[in-house]
Amino acid sequence: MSAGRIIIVGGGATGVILAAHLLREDTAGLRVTIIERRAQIGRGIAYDTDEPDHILNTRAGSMSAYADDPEHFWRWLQSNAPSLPDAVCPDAFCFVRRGLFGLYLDALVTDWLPTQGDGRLEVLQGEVTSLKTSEFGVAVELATGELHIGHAAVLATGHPVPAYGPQSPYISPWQCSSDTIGTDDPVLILGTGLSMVDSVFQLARQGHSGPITALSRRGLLPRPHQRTKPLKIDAADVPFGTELSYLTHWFRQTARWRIEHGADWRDVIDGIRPHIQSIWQSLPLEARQRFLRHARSFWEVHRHRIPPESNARLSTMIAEGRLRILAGRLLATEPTAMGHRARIRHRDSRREEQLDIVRVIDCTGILRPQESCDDGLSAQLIARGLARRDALNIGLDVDDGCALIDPSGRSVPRLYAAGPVTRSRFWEITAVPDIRVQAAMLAARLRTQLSGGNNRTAAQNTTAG
Amino acid sequence: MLTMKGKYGLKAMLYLAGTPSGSFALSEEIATANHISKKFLDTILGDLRTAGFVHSRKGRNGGYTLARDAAQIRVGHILRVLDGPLAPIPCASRTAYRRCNDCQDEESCSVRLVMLEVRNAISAILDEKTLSELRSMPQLVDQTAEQLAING
Repeated sequence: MSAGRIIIVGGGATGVILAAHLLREDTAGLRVTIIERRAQIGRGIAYDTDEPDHILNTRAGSMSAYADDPEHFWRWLQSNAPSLPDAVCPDAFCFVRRGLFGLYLDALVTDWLPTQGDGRLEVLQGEVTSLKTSEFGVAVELATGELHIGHAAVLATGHPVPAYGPQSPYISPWQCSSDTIGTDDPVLILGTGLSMVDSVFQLARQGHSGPITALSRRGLLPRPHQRTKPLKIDAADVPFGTELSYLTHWFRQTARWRIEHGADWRDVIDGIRPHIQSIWQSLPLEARQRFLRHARSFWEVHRHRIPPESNARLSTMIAEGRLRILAGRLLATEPTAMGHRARIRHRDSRREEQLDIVRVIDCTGILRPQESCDDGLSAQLIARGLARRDALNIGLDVDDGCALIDPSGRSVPRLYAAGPVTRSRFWEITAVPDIRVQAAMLAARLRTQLSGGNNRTAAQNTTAG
Repeated sequence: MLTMKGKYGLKAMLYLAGTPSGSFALSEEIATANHISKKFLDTILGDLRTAGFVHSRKGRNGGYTLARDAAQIRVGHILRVLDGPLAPIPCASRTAYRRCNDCQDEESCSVRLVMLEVRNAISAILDEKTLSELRSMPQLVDQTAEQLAING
């Protein structure tokens, strides 16, 4: 009897880490198929970069694909340091080039590939056009018409990416190259978070020396990393289920209390992290909506920090006047002879400013209304009654075990989602330390489901016999 | 430990869970029904309101009502707001930490360490239980007693 086949749609970090978790624990011959539209796996929007200046925003010691083996990535770096010169990372606190993590994801699954391994992992390049379920399994159709059958499917499609046409004043950070932006061109960046930092460094590397203005509602920049000693916080300490204002008050008080005792605010942020998913799930819907609107940027600049070296470089660029950080609102853009004119209103003075720029780079981040993104597959699943959008409209609705939820609120058998797609349920599910925990949980659930399914078939056979 | 404040707060929440949805109960009415001083109850209801567990309305037909369905409110969540972090002794807490007067070294105090385990067990039970489950507990006790009587 075949042990089953799981089809993973999307071969970015989430898809690859999930595949590794499925294959590594398994002894029953389970097979996994990853379908990825790019030529390589492990190169989703996060790690598909060869920019030397795009470094991981998390220290190497926290980037292992396995929660039960936290130094896995760091050891891989150590053993590959001779062949990869920039992989030098003498201590697990270092921040390495992001492209290296893509190579690590490759290496993670080689043992199961047909060429170098036992062949239980199949990687296909293609675009999934349709996903159907039946009582017995799932059928995935590719744009080429090819059909693949499995026992369950997992959507690991990652972050929605905005698609802008050539006439639009906007470009995405992934379209930002020397073809679209000339050396002296003035540029406006929307957003002042991690993507903005990436884009600024990428522009600098391309030789860009024009003025850069980065604009966001509050103009807050990500805070720098520092070695931390996370505060131990138990569930019994956390005021779950309370209003956002109450929760924020409690959190600030706790941080103040620790700082008075000589600790760092980072210790409190990192200490609360294991409880974020539970806090998120205990918040009423309106409180989650308010969080997204009012508290998110404060939280994110403290939670999603940048390496000290990036921080130093950014500060220099600001001091030299090459980069200006603005708090305010983009009111409108209109085309001009050289590109576009942006009308901006400053947050505090309410003063309006006209800014002539060539392009606007959209670095507003990873939370986008789902309709604005090019994601035919989820739209199709929703139309077919196999999925529904979550109440916050930032992904798909899933149950606690990652199964998709249909429009009537029932969990869909055999269809799951993992990674950023599930952020409405788990919120803190966009970074490797959280994705690997989810992958372990989902892998265990899938294995149980498959073995349960086989047992049922066996039981039916017995009854029939 | 469960303080009077925590106990009265839970009773008030149970009272509100028993009123028809959309209706508002006066604090006087809740106080009388549970034999609590109204002044004390007002403080408790004020705390519950700040934390977002109850809504209040002034004037005629005013009073208090649950902010969410009783099935969405956990007992442990209510108690944390009224009593602070769940802890059997004051030093068995991470955030509202208070040292005992006779404490020499809290990191190696066995009594504290076992009480930290106890508090995690307490929160595991209280966070599982919803207010509506709490309401139906007396009936369940009766049923078990009847079962015993029948089987006996």
